[in-house]
Amino acid sequence: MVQQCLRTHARVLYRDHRVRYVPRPDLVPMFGWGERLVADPTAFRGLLADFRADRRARVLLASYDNLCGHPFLTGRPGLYPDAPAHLEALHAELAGLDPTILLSVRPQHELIESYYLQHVNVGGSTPFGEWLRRIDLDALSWLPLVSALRSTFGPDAVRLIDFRRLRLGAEEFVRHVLDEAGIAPGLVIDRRWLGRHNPSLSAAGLELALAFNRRFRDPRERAVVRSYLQRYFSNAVDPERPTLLGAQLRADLADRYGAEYEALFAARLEPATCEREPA
Amino acid sequence: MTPELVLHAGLAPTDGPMLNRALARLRPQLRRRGVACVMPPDFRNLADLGAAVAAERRATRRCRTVFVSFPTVALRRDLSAEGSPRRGAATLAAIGLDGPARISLTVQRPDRLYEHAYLDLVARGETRPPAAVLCGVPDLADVVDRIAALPAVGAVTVRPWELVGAGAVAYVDDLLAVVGLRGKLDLHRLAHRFSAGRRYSAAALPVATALLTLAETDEQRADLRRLVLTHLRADADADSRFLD
Repeated sequence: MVQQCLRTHARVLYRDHRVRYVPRPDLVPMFGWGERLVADPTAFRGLLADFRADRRARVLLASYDNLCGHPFLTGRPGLYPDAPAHLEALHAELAGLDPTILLSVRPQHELIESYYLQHVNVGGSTPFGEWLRRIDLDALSWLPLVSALRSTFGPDAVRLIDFRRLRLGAEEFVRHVLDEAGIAPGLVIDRRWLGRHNPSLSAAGLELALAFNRRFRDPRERAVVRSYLQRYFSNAVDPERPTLLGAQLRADLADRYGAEYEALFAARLEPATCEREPA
Repeated sequence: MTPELVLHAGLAPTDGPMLNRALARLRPQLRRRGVACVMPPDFRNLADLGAAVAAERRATRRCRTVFVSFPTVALRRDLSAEGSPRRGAATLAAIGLDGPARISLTVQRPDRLYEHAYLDLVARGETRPPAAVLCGVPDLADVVDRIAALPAVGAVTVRPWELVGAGAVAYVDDLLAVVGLRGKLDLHRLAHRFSAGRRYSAAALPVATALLTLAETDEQRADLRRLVLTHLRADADADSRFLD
């Protein structure tokens, strides 16, 4: 949603705010799931060289959700276990610059449900219960990732975005992201962009998607199914959301991680604090 | 002098809509060369066909030929040939010209016609299997014979749809031979605007028929058609083959 907004306003950002926005599709070949940056940073160096040569641009703005790798990896406890290596590679490439790193986080139960829906959205057909068994619910703290970011880039360079702010509206959320980045104050957001973005599958849509994903394997078939279900079987059309985590499990996750999550935004945590294990 | 009548009766899955759009764009040139050309949506049914022809004749300088393009005369979308002589005769009568007409019939290999007809029906929302909605592979020789036997028909010219493989301009230019204008009109502007109709590939059938069962409105069906044509259209003729 943020990326769609930034892309829509890329010209205004550049012309009026001297911010050069890099669309996500341009970053995919450079980053992949983060591993491409580690293996071959040549393309990313080219992007930075172009930015340095651009006398108008004062800020290079990139938004990319896969840089830290996959959030869950079988046999690798913790969120985004590959992130430290990828962040080190990014830090090395940004030497001599003064980067600001924004990390958007959400409560653990929301992350799990959202990522499962994304798994289905891209063609997965594993039932939720089976999918959930692969995840270590005791190792979902954001603290190790936040700690890795702060120790790599410095505590002052890292800003955390609470995804729950999206409930205040898409425009408010985008403005918050830009404020945290310290760029484009007063950006006039095109009213045509405002509206529903990235709707999730409704309960009925999820059931259909699981059935179709089991039946259709060709990526072209899946692209048709995904687009059609997102349009007509999303929570924008049918507000009944799928029941994934039960009430008890949600409460357990809130008990386990809730205070720690709130503390992320209450104050800047010292690196030593960040490294503690979740209660 | 009574102008000659030429009726183009391309079969349903032979890019008739594309031809009609091209003919509409060429109409000023056709008028200057004495050809009054009428095609849908100039008329919606036989009741207003005569009036459309009369109006176009008035707009055509020294009209020597009336050229009517009506792609569903010979075969219905279900490939039924039943009633095609009656429809042909009624069409000729509705045009209201004396003298024998020439009929241009665009055909394609019957098995390919069958496949294309079914893919087009699915694109329009059909979910049943081919055998349930099509009348079988048509006997095109029989269709031609029945039309040629009509008293008002002087000759039948059969054109192969496969010419579309040479491109939209070549396909349109070949059709213009029936009014003696092949190679004589400026078709340059067509090259940028026209192409053969986009068609579902055979690979689209399972997903299209599955999702059609969910589509409840015309808007949803139109969206589905757009999505399928985006991701699973037939880029080559072989992509639309599904018969063994």
